Amino acid sequence: MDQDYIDGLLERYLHLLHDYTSLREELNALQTGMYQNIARANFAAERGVRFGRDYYDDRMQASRRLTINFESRGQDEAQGPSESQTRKNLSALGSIITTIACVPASTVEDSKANVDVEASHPYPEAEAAEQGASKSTDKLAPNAPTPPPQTDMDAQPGRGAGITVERRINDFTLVAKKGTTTSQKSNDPLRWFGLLTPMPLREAQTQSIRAIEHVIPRLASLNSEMAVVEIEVRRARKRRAKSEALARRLPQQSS
Amino acid sequence: MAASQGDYKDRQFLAVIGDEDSVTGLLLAGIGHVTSPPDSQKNFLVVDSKTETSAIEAAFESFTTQRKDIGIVLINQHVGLPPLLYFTASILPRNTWLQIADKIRYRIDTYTAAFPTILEIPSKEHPYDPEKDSVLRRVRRLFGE
Repeated sequence: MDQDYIDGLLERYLHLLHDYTSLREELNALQTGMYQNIARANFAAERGVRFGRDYYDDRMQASRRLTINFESRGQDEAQGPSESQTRKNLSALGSIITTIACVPASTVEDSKANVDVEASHPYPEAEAAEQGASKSTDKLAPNAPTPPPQTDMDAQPGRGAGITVERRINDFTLVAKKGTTTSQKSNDPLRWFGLLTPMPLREAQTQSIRAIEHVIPRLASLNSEMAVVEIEVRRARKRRAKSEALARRLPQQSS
Repeated sequence: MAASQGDYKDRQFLAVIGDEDSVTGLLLAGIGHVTSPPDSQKNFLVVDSKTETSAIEAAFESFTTQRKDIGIVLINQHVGLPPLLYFTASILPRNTWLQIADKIRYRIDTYTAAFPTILEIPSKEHPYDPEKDSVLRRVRRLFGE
């Protein structure tokens, strides 16, 4: 009985390991492309220009953030029955099983966009200028805020719960006193390097976004799930060793 | 458990310790964050040949222990060595060299907390080495190797 349970856990562990190694390969490929593109951008840049830390914005605010959920993945039914049972057993133990998810852009924190300007604006000194600009754009802009640009990756459907990266689009949204008109400012890190950034740098950004949104959170989730399975395997092995030792002792005592 | 889950909800940033190109690439994705003054804290550290090992360790300590808003720490598998250590490493046997290069990694291998999660990523100069991956080391330990 114990042996079957351990075998089930190990089977699950090997599946996780397979996922982990394939995600690692994907991350390697993405990072290799990213490094090549940054090198290309540096090579083609003007003399003395290097796209690096000299251009970082000291007031940068994260536009991609993590959300950590603890609900189990809704794919158990899609997996094999034994796998599903193993996951349920692990969940019953109270272990934290974080799983994979991709949050579509529509689920971005809307509530955070509506907080007060003073509390949310990451660039206070730019606020006054922006407010002035918003007054002028109010005449031109429609009442509804312009939707944020959606990439193909953003449009991918969610895959459940877990550690995810979500885009915080409305960092720069200023809520007007009437509460009807808003204006947005780009929070794109590419702007640190100028308005006309080279194409390789944009490609590097695309690859980096893919790694951050789709690969790294899943690797982190797999890491934590593998750790949970490891602990349970060790516990099951200890239980089996104890029961075997007990079984050995009993015949000796009876004789 | 509920309280601790509430704590995890605050962990919304990724942190990076790595070479300049790794950090630049990851910051391009929009993960860079500087907290508001007066104690402006960055969630990244650019490591080069001049960076002291103590600075790397301090950043690692800050990201993993002190700050409660970091959910994942990304660290280059091979972090840069100070020049003196490079010279020392070059005249020592390879095994010793690995021990020096892994000076920060002993912290990673002994790190057991669930959050923040530590992930090792390849650097520009060195490809991903499965032998050094702490997850795969754990796998080997589980299967008794």
